[in-house]
Amino acid sequence: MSTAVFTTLQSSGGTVPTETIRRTIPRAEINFNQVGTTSIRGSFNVSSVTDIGVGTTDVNLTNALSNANYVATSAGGSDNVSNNCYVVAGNQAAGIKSTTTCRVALVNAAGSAADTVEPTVAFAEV
Amino acid sequence: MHLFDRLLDAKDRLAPVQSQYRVLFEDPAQPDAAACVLVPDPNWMAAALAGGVLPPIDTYLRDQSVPDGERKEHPYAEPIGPMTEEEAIEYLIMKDIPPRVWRDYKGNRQIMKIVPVELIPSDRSFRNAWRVSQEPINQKEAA
Repeated sequence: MSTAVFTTLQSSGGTVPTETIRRTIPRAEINFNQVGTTSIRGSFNVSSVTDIGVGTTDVNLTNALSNANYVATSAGGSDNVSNNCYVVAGNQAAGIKSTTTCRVALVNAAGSAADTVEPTVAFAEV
Repeated sequence: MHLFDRLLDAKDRLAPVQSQYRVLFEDPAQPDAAACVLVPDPNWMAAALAGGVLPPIDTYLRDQSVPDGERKEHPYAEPIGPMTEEEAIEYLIMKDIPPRVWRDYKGNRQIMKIVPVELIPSDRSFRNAWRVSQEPINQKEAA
């Protein structure tokens, strides 16, 4: 097997440091299920999830992010009732978003906490 | 090799392992809150069982006192060898559950249990009222 090592990539528009490319890929991802017994379908850089209560789950990361100003992009999925669920990701001020843990809370169209079938979250550093 | 790179490599070559255990716990800092359930990640469990990926647990414990934004120790630590599933669950408890639950709590009430997954109720109708059962673990539900 051969290994290519380089520090910048060049295109017709100029060069991009490989470190910049590395930082723009998601640092962690998860697809899980809150309905019935909580389970994880797929993930990267996640050590566990903590089921806190209805619609509320903490995502715990294996490799801590460099700071807590990261982006948590998420999709709520369906609660099998209203089919419209929204995600409220943790915030630093409330102490539920850190470099190692982010709380994900899901609410249905009526604004009530709801367990959903397939919430997904991707974490990217900025 | 950085921990992030080891995780990428492990994701490519290791099949996920669904743990047979869950950790049920209550937070003594929030006595009115429902019991929590810790669910191990299948890719993390595969890495723990295979060895050569995860850093020593004491690096995570020391990093808890490192402020966000400063360099942490665990991504750069040498990886440890393979663990059994039971050892991996103990590691995960120390990593992802606050020390006030598993180390500092001095009360009489049992606030943490490692239970087989089938003892976690699948009916979540009263999920926000779950408490850790004080009965010995048996074939009934644990919460």
